[in-house]
Amino acid sequence: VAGTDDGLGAMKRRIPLLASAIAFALAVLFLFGTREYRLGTLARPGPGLYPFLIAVLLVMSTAGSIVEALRAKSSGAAIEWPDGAGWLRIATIMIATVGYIMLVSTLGDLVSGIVATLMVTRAMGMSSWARAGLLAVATAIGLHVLFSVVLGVPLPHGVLFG
Amino acid sequence: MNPVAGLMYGFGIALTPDNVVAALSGALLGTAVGILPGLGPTVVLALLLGPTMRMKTEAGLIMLGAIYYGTQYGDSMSAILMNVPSEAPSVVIAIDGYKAARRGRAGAALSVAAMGSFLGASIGLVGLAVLAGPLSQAALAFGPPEYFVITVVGLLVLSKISSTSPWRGLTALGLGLALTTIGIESITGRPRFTFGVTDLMEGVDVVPAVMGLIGMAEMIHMAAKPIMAGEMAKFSYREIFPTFAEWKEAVPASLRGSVLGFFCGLLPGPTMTLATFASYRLERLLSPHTVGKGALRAVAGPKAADDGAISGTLVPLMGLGIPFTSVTAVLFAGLLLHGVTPGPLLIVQRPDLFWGLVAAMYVGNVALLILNFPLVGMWVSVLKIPQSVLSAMLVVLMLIGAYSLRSSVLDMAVVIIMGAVGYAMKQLDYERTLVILGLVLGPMLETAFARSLEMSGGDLNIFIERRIPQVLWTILVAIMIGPYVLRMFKNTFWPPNAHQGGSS
Repeated sequence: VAGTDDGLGAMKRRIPLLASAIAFALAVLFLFGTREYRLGTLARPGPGLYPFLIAVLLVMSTAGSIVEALRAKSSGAAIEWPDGAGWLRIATIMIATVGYIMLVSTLGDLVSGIVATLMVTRAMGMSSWARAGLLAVATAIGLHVLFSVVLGVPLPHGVLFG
Repeated sequence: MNPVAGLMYGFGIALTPDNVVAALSGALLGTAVGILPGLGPTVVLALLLGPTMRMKTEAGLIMLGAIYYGTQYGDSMSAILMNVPSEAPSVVIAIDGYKAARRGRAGAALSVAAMGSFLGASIGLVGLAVLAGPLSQAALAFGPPEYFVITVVGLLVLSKISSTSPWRGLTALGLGLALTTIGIESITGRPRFTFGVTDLMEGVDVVPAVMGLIGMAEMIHMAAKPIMAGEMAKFSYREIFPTFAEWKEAVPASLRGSVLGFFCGLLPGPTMTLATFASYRLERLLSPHTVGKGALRAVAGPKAADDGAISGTLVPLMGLGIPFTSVTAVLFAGLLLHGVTPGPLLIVQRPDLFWGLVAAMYVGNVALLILNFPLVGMWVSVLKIPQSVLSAMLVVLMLIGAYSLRSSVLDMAVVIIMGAVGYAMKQLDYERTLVILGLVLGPMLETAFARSLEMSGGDLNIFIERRIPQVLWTILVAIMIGPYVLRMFKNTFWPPNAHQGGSS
C-alpha cells in the first residue's frame, strides 16, 4: 500500500535494477580489461578477440536487463529475502568457510574442519554444544579418512602438525 | 560396430568384478547423497567427481554413470517420502508420490518409481546405443564452423527457453563464457585475466564452480530459510509391493513415459523437466479422475520419462560432444577429468570406453533396482538426518572435494565466491544452468571460432554459407521470432475482442 510504503520496501523492489546496474558496470569493466590483449585480425585472431566479443555480449545483455528492470518497477517485490536470523546464519556459514580456507594451510584439514563444522551446526540450529562438538570431530575425522586414507588425496596437515 | 555387438562388448567390460563393484558403489553413493533434501543430481554429481578421479578410467567412468542414475532415484525418494524435491523433475513426481505415501502407499510408490526408473533407463539406453553411433558418424564430417554454429545456436536457444527473461539468460550465459577466458589461452598460449596469480593460469575449473553455483548456493539458501519438509510418510515393508491393479496402470504409464522422455531428452533445454511434465499431462489426460490424488501411474510415468530423458541427453553429449543440460555438462567435465573427451571420435577411437559406459549405466540401473528394494528402510533413516548436521557435513565436504581436484586452495575459494554469486542469481531469477553450460562449452567455442576464421582467411561467411549452419540459423530464427510472428498473425486474423462481440 502506497501510504504505508517505507524506504526499505522501496529499496527492496529496486534490487533487480540495482543488480542489473552492478552487472552492467562489471561488464563494462570486463570490456575495458580486454584492451590488455591484442585483438589481432579476423584471419589471425589475437588472444583478446574472443573475450572482447563476450564482453560486448555482456554489456548488451546487462543493458537490456536494466531496461527490463526499469519497465517492471516493482519486479523486486516478489523476491523473498531472509529475515535477520537468516542473514546471521548466512554470515556464519560464510565466515566458517572463509575461515576454513584461511586456516587450513596452518592448522590442517582436521582442526579447521572441526571449527567450520562446529560453527555451521550451531548456526543451523543445533543447540547442544556437546552434540555439535562430537559431530564436528566425527565429520572432520570421517572426511579425512575418506579423502586422505581411502582416496589418497594429499590434504594439508598444517604447519603445526608437520 | 553395430549397437548389439557394441553393447555385448560393453557388457564384457562392465561386468568385470572391479567394474561391477564400481557400479554398485556408484548406485549406492548416488542414491545416498541424492536423497538428501536440497541436493539435486547436478550438485551431487559434482560433489562425487573428486572421489572417482582416483580410480582407473573404466571403473571411474562406470562409477560416474551409476552415480548419475543413483542421484536421480535418490531425489525422487525424498520427493515421495517427504515432499522435498531438489530439482524440477522430482517436483512432478512429488505431486502424486507424496499423496500416495500419505495414504499409506509409500512403499508401493517407491516400487513403481524404481520400476519406472528401470524401464525408462533401459529403453533410453537402447535409444542411446542406436542413435549415438549414426550421429557420431555424421558428426565426423563436421568441421570447426559447424561445431561453432551448433554450440552458438544451442546456447542461444537455451538462453531463450530456459530463462524467464532473454536478457537475464544471455547475462548468465555470458558470465559462464567470460569465466572461461581466465587462464592460459589455448591458441596463442598467453595468460589472460590471471592478475599474476599462478593458480589462475589453469583457469577456473568447472567442478568447484558448479559446487559453488549450485551446491554452496543451496546451503546458503537453506540457511536463509530452512527447508520446511512435509511430514515424513510412514513406510512399511509389508506394503512395498504394489497391487495387481496398481501394476496394471503403472507399467503402461512407464512405457509411455520412457519413450516420451527419451525423445524429449534429445532436445536442447530443460529436457528432464519437460519430459516429466509432458508425461504427467499425458497420464492426467488418460485418467483425469485419479491423477492428482495419489495415482501411482503419475509416479511411474514421470519417473520413467525422467530416466528416459537422461539417456536422451546423452545422445548429443556422446554423439556430438556437446552437453545441453547442467547435469550432462557436469558429466562432461567428469569425463574430461578422466582424460576422455566425449564426441564422435570417442565412439570411433575408444569404443571400449563408450560401450563400457553405456553398458555400465545399464548395470548401474539393475544395481539400483536390486539394491533399492531391500535398502528402502536405510534410505528412510538417511532422510531423518537433521538439517544442521547435513549442512555442516556438506559444506566441509564441498570444500575438501574442491581441494582434492588439484590440491588448490583457490578451488575452495571458487566454491565460496560462486556460492554467493549462485545465491544472488537464484534470488534474482538468473538461470544458473546457463553459467555452467557457458563454462563447459566456452573453451570449445573459442577454439572452433578461431580455427574457422583461420580456415576461411577471416571471412565470416564461413559460418553462413555451409549447409548445416544454414539449417541451424534458420531454426534459431524460427525459435526466436516464431512466437512473435504467430502472435501478430493471431491478433490480425483473430483479434482478442472479436469473439466477445464488443467494439473497442
